[in-house]
Amino acid sequence: MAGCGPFTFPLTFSPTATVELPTSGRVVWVTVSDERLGNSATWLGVVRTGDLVGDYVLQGSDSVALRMTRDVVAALRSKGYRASESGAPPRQPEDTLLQIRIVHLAATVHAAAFQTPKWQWSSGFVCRSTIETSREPLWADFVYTSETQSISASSRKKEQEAVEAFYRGAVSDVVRHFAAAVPP
Amino acid sequence: MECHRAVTIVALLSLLNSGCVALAYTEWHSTSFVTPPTSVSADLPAIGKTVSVRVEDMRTGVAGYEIGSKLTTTWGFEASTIDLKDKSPLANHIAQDVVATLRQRGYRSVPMAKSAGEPAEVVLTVRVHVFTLVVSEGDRMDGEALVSFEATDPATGRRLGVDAVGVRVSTMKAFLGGEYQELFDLLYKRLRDLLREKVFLVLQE
Repeated sequence: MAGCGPFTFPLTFSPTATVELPTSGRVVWVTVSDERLGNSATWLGVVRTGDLVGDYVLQGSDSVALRMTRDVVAALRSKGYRASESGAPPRQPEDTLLQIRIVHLAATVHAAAFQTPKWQWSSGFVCRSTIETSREPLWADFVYTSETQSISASSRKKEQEAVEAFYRGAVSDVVRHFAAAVPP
Repeated sequence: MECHRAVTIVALLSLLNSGCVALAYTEWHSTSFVTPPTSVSADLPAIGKTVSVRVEDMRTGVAGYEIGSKLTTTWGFEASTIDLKDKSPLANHIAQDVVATLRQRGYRSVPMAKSAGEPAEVVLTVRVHVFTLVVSEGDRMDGEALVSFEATDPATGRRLGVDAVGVRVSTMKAFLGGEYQELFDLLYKRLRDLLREKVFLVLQE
């Protein structure tokens, strides 16, 4: 297969959970931007197996940033925040803004013959939260997540599940850190 | 006679081929080296905010001078590493670049190890989370880097600012050996450019 390519492997994540807007709780407007250099907006990682080197990309029309915005909003709502995607005014002066910049996000799979594939995940997000009007800083942090596992993935479905599990873990990390600093 | 000549040619070609295979095998399974980046230097400004720079290599399971790996995917075992030629830690090179960048911006920046004489107004901690070149038996090579930086007030321990930069590069493999240097230079240059553009901003927050 050497000399062929590039190969892309579209991965379909399960739909974002639908969580109703809580009737009370802190109002949070979420923005996610993708600042990764050298990647497309749907890029999720790289797979190396035999002579084949290919890229995992998010299937469908959503970019990773848009998908993450929705997932963070759903996760915050489930924790009691009145969270919404930014860009839907009117906002109130006391509302909270949460800005997440994706600096790094990559799943890497190294599959050698006769061995269980080695899966690696690393992601880095620069997060900032402020009050709408005063711009008073509430929280600022760099959230880095990394994980290495041996996962026997013999089908595309299992690969999807593995990458999605890594991704969801990283989203949970961001929400957990935010919730610890800025209560609902 | 013709038959003998053909056998000889086939035998010579086989020898040549096995020699190439052996050379390729040896290259693949022995450590490759790349020349470290040429660090920029800048004079310490006479006035300006004093910044002590500390660079921490957060990568796990690798020596400080390891900057990549050659993976064997066909036969089921790991191959070898790509190291900086003089075994100098990558973190030292990044520290020199950050110190020089801040000096060019008017900060009296010094590496933390050399800042004993003058108390710093700000401590800048730079953390290298990811820096790796990955070369496998396919014809594509990848490199990625992720570096975060955090400014703190040493008197109070208060965090003043935090940010990070990430970069990823891919190139096609041309032949054995020399392209590792090219890939390393490309990745390091992109990282250095981003650091120059952003690292001082956390001191202004």
